[in-house]
Amino acid sequence: MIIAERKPFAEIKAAVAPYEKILIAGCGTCVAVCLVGGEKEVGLLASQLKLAWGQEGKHPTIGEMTVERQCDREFIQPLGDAVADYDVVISTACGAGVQFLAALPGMKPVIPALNTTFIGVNEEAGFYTERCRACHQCYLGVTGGICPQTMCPKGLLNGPCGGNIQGKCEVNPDRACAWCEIYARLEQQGRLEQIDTILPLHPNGRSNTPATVIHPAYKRRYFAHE
Amino acid sequence: MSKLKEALEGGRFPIVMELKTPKGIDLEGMLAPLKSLNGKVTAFGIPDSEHAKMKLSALAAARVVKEAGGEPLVFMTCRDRNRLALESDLLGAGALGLENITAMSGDFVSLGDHPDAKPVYDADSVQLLQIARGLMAGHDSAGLPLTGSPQFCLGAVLIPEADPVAPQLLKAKKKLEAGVDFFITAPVFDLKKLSQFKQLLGAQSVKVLACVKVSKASEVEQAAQGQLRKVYSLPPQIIQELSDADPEEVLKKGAVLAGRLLKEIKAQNLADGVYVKARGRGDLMALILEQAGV
Amino acid sequence: MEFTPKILALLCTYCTYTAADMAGSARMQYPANVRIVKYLCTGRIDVLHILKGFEAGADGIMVSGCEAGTCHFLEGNLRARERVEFVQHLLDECGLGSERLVMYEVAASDAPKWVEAVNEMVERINRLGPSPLNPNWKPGSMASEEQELAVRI
Repeated sequence: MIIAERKPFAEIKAAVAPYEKILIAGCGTCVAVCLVGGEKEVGLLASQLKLAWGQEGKHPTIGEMTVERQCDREFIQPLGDAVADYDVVISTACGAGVQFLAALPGMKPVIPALNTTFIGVNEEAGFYTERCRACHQCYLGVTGGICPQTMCPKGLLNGPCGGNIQGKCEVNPDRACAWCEIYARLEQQGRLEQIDTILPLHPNGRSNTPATVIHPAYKRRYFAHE
Repeated sequence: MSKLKEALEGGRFPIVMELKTPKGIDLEGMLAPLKSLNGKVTAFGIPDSEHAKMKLSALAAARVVKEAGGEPLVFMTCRDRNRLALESDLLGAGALGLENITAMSGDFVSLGDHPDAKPVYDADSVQLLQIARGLMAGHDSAGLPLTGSPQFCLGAVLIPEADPVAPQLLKAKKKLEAGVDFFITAPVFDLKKLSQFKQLLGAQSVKVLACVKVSKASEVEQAAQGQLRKVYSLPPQIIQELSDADPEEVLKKGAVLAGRLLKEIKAQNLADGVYVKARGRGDLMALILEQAGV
Repeated sequence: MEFTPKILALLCTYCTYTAADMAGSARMQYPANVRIVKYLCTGRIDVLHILKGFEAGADGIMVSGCEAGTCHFLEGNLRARERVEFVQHLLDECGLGSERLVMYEVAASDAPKWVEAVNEMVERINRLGPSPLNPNWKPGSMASEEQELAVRI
């Protein structure tokens, strides 16, 4: 899922300073799981804003509305109607959701409450680690389920660099060298031949932004003009 | 034909001295050792923003060394250039008469003085060797033909004290497959470990330059406290030998030791040549050669 | 008139509330401006409860539970400690200040420690002054007290 971090409060407050009626729009999927953008966190942000402005003698209207997720039109349509009573929206969704929301017809200006960080996993409550860089050419079958593009900071495809010390990464000595781990796992599985051949240069062209995926079953629908 | 290649193939135990590229355009300091040593050493190594600390372009420095009469050995890291730039720079090296190229991944940006730089690593060291071979065969990595192909003597890096060693050996095997001409090891202080590593590497025809290094005082101190975080280690008796209150003395002792190691490596046939890291100082290099009886 | 701190005390049943009860039975004297909210366990305290407490006009909030290792529900007080620290961070961020929120540990039998905690909290809030959410508060003015009430909700 997508992991994000809450922006510093001062930054959010400054962004909505000119407004009197603020709607905080939450997202109930990835950012709720990583405890920065769900219904609860919307409530926390609303409370912080009230406390902050209360000190200045100001009492703007702050609304709270959390939807299933903001990356699906069916869930953000209701927000499109709700904004009529507000001047600005703070979205606690990831960058994708914020953009989708901002593009809704009739939407007010949208301010992000989060800095989106990576695709990762929930190791434990409050502890999330990056696992995937969406590189469009997955090597996980060859590398025993450990991603050489993500878990190796250099994204090497053919074995470790010379910088690892006793199996620890040169960049972060608290982490194991991804390639040493790949080797160990394949050895344990008796599948070392998977990394025998030299992997060719990565096809970066596929990852040029902004990328698009059309599901094969829908080619007719979206290329109907052909 | 590259003088380094000739010396390696002729079994003449070449010595390569590493120069220090400047952070700036004043090349006088870098070139100083050339005047006194040229003739006694086979080639001069030119690092590529070593340790991710930005320095003057290795290619440019190498050309200057060549014009000053030295044979350059240029390092090329994968860290800062995409495949276009790697190929472009390799062609540039070819056109400038720079034949000796060592391909390496390169220390990560966060370790150096530009930690927010974008790390590239579009190719890894194995793929870079393949790219270079491709250029020599007359085509770029997209398969397009070249007007004039460069000739290279290609090097890569080996870590004798790698632990675990198996992944490193796999990488070395791939470098051999990709067409490497010679290896340079990480600094060696324990010849037994070098010998053991050679056994593990097995019989192969590619030449190996063992690296000897002059450690500075802070490195020796860290080693003494068990805090030296490098891909090589200093054995206790060597730490003792090198320790001194005066940092200059540490360097001198380091040079004496490096010279002795060089002599031993040659005598025991532990490598086909030596790569010397002497902090870019001509006086230390001279001391090393003297100690080695060269 | 003097500023009278309004302090919320979020207490757990098994330890601090029991101690407070005992203090009462023993007729121990301590300031009366603490309003107690009784939880079964401090682990039930939601971060929002504390923030809403400040929104409603509390000048200070004290959370008090069992001593580490003696929580009736095993880890409730540890969770409370983590949450209190998080709210302190949120309070610093929005400018209200983390000094207005304090966590204490008072065992069931330790009525004197409860009294000491209250005294310390009242003294702290006296020193910090009224919550900055009540900027109209001025000493010696009836009008300001009305404004205070109006601003409060």
